[in-house]
Amino acid sequence: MDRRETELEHTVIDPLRHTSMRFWLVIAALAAVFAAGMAALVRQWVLGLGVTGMNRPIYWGIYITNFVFFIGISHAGTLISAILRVTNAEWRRPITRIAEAITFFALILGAMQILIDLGRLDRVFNLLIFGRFQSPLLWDVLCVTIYLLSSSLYLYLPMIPDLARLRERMKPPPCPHSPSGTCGNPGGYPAPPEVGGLGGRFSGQGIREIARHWRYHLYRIMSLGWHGSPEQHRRLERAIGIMAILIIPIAVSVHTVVSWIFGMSMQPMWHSTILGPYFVIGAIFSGIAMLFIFMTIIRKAWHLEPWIGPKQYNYLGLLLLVMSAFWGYFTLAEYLTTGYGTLIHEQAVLQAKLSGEYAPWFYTMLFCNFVVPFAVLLRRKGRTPLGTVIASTAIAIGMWIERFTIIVPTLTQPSLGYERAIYTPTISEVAILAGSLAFFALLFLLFFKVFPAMSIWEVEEGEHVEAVKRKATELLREPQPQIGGHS
Amino acid sequence: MSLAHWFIDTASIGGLLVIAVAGSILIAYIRMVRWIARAPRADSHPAEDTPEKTA
Repeated sequence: MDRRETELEHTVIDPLRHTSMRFWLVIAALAAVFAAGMAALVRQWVLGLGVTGMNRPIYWGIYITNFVFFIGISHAGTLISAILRVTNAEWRRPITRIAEAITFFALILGAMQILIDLGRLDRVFNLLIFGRFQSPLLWDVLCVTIYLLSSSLYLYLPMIPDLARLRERMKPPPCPHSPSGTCGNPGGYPAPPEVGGLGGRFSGQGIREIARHWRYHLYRIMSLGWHGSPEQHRRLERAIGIMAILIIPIAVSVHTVVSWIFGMSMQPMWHSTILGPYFVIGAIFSGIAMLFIFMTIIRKAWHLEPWIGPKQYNYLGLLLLVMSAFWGYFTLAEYLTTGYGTLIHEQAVLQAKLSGEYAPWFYTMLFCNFVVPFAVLLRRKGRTPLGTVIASTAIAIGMWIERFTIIVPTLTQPSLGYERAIYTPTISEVAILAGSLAFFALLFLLFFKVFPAMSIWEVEEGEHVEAVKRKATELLREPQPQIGGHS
Repeated sequence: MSLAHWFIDTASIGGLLVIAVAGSILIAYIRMVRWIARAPRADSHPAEDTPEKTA
């Protein structure tokens, strides 16, 4: 077996071996923001939900906005990666791992927002103990759980061959005093008993050895003894194919059900059939934007420029532009229909958004989600790393505001016999929002310090496919020998 | 009809359903991973073997 690293392997694996001081500074800054958020959360657990700006009749505020936002960006990965995989888009290969990781961590953060919103952690069991299946809240618990399980597997499966490669590359160095000649596990998986077996592993030396070579042991366990036989590859590709097809309806169902939490109630501007597809479109839209932001950070910091290049930025930029157009169409359809309906309670919410206290939020949302993407991405020159990150940052902000303007104005204009109310988020809620965003970025960056940011084997496969295509084109261009001609 | 109503309107049945569905999916996914891990080292496709010619 060739032990030399290819350029691709070296580029992808090197950031796992070496970490710059700048990276640790970024981690420290994110950890500080996360710690501030945790402090606010502990204070909320001690003092109760009274520390938030939520009060009767505004039961949902920033936390549920965050929940919908994070569940939305979770569509970045799995859905986009799955669609591109099913349609066999070759340019997807270098970016699927990043997209799938976004999904996984966004779902964890989304689920965490529910726990935060409940006020006390033990209340989550009430959903299971007292839950009735007619409640959309329970459908949501079911869909998010299935999505989390599926996206975890969908992230893990394509990593297995890369983990086996890392297992080989991070094998501990030779040790002359060991009977087998190595300090660590010499034979890969399973470990021989004299070095890494159960007897040695739980001794002091064994634990020290595992701690010293923790990466190797992690990769050894997670690679499941991958040996890469053709049959094993066939099984892996089949499993990935099944998951890619399964995950598309699961992802669509998740955000549809999230919308039904609102849509199944009789609240003004929530009780609408358009809310399901509107949420799904918004989720894919914000998901692609988040993918652009994190893809560009990883590309720059991990030096992946040779693989994540103009093709990815151009095609994905066009997709983002199309999603912006779809989002604009759905927004117009929703607001125009409500405006023509002249239902009293809906008019109050609509006016609050168009010309009332939520108008600045509403027009900022339109600017961020529609004007900026079209201004930046319409021309080919705009679909660059800088252009797409500018547009994507605007979209991420705009989509968070969109979730906020869907949830809060409706609750401040109640249709039942409550007075109009005002919701002002407190410093606790803002700190928890900042902490959540920092925690998301923290998890994402630390994950790619342990696991490769790009699917090495899939990119290699793509390079082989490209080489075969080039060869076939060259052969077709060569003059063909005449068949059946005069001798 | 009353059974369906009981099913969707009884407390804790929803929770049990969530646990049952999520548990089944988790087991199916674990089995899928084990199926990949237990693939044979040698490439063997008995069904695709060419049958020997008989006289």
